[in-house]
Amino acid sequence: MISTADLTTDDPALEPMDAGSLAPSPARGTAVLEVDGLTTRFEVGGRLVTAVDRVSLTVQPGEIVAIVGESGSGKSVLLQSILGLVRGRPGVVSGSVTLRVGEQVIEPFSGIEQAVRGRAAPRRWLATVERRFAGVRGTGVGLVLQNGRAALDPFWTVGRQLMAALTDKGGAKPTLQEAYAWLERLGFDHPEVIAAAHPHELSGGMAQRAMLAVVLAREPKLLFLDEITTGLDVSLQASVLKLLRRLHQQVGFSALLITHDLGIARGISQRTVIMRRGRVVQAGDTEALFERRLRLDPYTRELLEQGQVEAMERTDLIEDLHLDAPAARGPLAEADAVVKRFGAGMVALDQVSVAIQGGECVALVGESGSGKTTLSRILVGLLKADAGKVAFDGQALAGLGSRGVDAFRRRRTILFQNPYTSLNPEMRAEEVVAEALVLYRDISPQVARDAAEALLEETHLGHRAKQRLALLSGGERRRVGLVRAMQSNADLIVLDEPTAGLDAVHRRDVAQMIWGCRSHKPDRALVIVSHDLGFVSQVADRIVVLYRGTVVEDVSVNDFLNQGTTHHPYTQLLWDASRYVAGVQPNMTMIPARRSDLSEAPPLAPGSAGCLFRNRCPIYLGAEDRWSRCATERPPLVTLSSRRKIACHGVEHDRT
Amino acid sequence: MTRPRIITGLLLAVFLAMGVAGLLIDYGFVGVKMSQALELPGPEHLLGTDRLGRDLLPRVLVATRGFFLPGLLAAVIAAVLGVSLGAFAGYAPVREGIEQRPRWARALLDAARAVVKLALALPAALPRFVSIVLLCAAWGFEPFLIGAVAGVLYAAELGEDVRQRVDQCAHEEYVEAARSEGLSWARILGLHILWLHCRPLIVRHLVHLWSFVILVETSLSFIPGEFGIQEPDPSWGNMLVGARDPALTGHLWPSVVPTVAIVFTVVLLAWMGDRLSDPDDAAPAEVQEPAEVEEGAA
Ligand SMILES: Nc1ncnc2c1ncn2[C@@H]1O[C@H](COP(=O)(O)OP(=O)(O)OP(=O)(O)O)[C@@H](O)[C@H]1O
Ligand code: SF4
Ligand SMILES: [Mg+2]
Repeated sequence: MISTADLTTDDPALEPMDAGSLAPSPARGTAVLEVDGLTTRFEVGGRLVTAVDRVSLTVQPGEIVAIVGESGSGKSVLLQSILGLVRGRPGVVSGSVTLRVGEQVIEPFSGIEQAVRGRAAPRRWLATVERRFAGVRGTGVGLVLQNGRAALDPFWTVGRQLMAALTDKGGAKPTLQEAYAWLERLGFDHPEVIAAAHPHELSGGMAQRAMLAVVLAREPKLLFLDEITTGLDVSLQASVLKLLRRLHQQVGFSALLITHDLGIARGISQRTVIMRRGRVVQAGDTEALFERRLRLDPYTRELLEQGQVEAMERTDLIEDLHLDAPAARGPLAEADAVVKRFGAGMVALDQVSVAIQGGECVALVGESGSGKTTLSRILVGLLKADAGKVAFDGQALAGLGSRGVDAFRRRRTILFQNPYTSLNPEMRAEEVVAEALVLYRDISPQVARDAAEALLEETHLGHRAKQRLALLSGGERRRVGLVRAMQSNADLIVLDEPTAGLDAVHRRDVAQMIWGCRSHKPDRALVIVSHDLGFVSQVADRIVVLYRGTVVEDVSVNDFLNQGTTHHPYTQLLWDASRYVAGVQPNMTMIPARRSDLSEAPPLAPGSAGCLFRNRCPIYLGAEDRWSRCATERPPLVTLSSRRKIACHGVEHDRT
Repeated sequence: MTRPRIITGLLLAVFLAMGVAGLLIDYGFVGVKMSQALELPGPEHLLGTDRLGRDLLPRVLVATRGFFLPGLLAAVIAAVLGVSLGAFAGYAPVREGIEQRPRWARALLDAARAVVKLALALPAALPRFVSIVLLCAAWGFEPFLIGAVAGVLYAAELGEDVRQRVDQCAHEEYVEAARSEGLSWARILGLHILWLHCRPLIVRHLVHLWSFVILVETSLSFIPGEFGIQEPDPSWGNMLVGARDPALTGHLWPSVVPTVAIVFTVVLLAWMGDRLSDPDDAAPAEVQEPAEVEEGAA
């Protein structure tokens, strides 16, 4: 949808508007944040391109303003410009920014020569801006970035960073209990374990939550939140949003929230600003916007409609591919009673069995830390199981000789979860893709380069082909990685979170890529790791739901979408949460009112006796006597039909 | 091209031209003409003459022979030794699952790495300049020997830095991803790590090494005894020493020429070294700011 071809600037609909021109502009002069005519330009390949174009907006005390826009629309750069963090690249920032935090009024850019070009200037300029921000950043202003792991100090434990934050806040000397309380508030079951961990020991979503805890612990007056829920699964997204809303009511901070997801904006913000290609195309009261009481800009209308179309209708396209004939051969990839432990007590996978047939597309879903990534890595041989059997095409991975390993490597491909760390930031986008082409297709580097450019063009990344990945946004990097992985001719392709951080339009692109990849080679198996049930139900044939390292349900998508099917309560919760976050279902009615909030769920150690889900289970809670088995016996994964397996005492009971 | 880059290029060209000219000039005769001693620059002698009436221009150029090729030799030695040892000692990517090697193989490799790591750390304790002087005293003075010794000593420092950077990169996930796809180790180490991530570091070290060789060669002439290039062959150092007597009698010009040459070269190289390690040109991997640039009305 977004290609370089339609980058016209004279579209009258895209004329920049003042943020206040559509909504009654709240009085200036009292705003916590006031941005006026902010423009940021970068020098890219000798040309000056505009990343942020005359943006004006205000954030009033106690108000949450959401900035919504697709990947690459300039949201993150806008934030960096406001905070004086645009660094490293020659560019020009102009316009004015005013921050009023507590008694202080800061105008970081006033009176500074703001034409920042070349090499020496930005440093001098930055030094001044830096000085003006000093004292405000840290306590008065909080910043939460997209990439949680990068923002945490890798050498400090989470607990130490939290304690430092609490100390910064001032007041009485913080206790460890306070730090634990913050971790619990963000849904960590074992705060003491998390506090002792270094960031690299946490799963992607856990690192994101840990960082939120560190920032929120400072109790900032003005928060800048950049795609904070991107790495989180739906139930956590829902609970982080709830948490933020609650804190907002209690503390009354103001926030500028950046997201690509209209559902999130609707859930939490009072005002919404929609950005496209660096400009504000729509601004106004959030409710009015969603109820369409405003004159809508065409792009906004499209976005709103996309959100509804996304209401998880499965496309017919996939039906053509359906391979009903059960594979005659054994499964292509198989894990049998796999156990994986990290460290002493941490059980990441507990007796997990899955079998993936050739030609099948299996989705692994589950909340952050449920072991999805761990399982997928074990399936492709990047991690070794502590117990149990892992086989590929009938051969145990443990017994592969060095020649067998080489052959195996060629037969499977994995797209890693984190697009920042798993692709070389110094490479250009086209080089990344061309490298895979040379590797998989055995063609000459020159031919590969041209082909790579064409491929990127097809996926609307043509204008990024010559740039180093370090300069690309998170969503763009993920798409580059995906294009690369899709070039593989492997029999098994694993995609870890292919849609995290992508907006509705790009999610559709990814779905199309996946369909193409399957029809290209019908006996290829795909494993999609995701927490996005809506997306997964569009592209996968089978869904395997993981909870705390155990498989709780293994169901074909047709059965999954069938209204009549009873699901595992956890699957139901995930499904409701995903509809909640997508804005389809305005409130989480299906989630039991009691203890539905993750932050209040008492800890249940993985590996302990009984059903791990019982402290959140609507069947068990309130009927503890009837379901005493849940507390003592781990429910086994029972085959209900050839297409459905469930591990739940309650559902089994229903059937008998 | 940004302006600083053009300036760097121009200055570098001047430096190279000086070196090449020094190699090409036919300097077979000494050219003593007492009648023209201590002349200031003029049409006949563009840079004037020294106390023996020798033209300063060819002398100042020919003097570059003392360090131009020896410096290059030092750089080549340091690059080959330092990069290969550093890369070997540093490249220990995460190997899990099917990639895991037998325990004895791991132990052997780890031991070898530890030995190389130690070998890289030791020379750092040696004072480089003093070591070179002592070696010259033992083996006789020879510019290429200085170059070779400086190269070897510097290889350790370069190797240690390369090792650290390679070590850091080898633990990055993109290395694991590339390995899991079956890219050869040569490509991963050579292209993904050394070329893309260590190149600025290596170039900066080599530039510094070159200016170090210049300083060594120049300073040797000041040490009493048979050190450094000896008269009548010119070196910037012995030109300065020779200009001392005229300077005492008020003829400063012969001192100015070699001084300017030394300062120009050393400052130029130092500046270049810094420029090459500047984050703007070599954005470090740790900076992870997502840039969202849209084509606008530029
Ligand atoms: N290298 C490691 N060292 C220690 N613990 C680890 C390591 N890798 C994973 N874990 C732990 O194993 C558990 C499962 O992690 P995994 O990465 O598989 O989760 P995930 O389901 O992919 O979550 P997310 O959606 O957040 O990516 C987590 O509790 C995590 O902390
Ligand atoms: S086994 Fe019991 S506690 Fe667990 S999900 Fe089923 S009913 Fe709930
Ligand atoms: Mg994961």
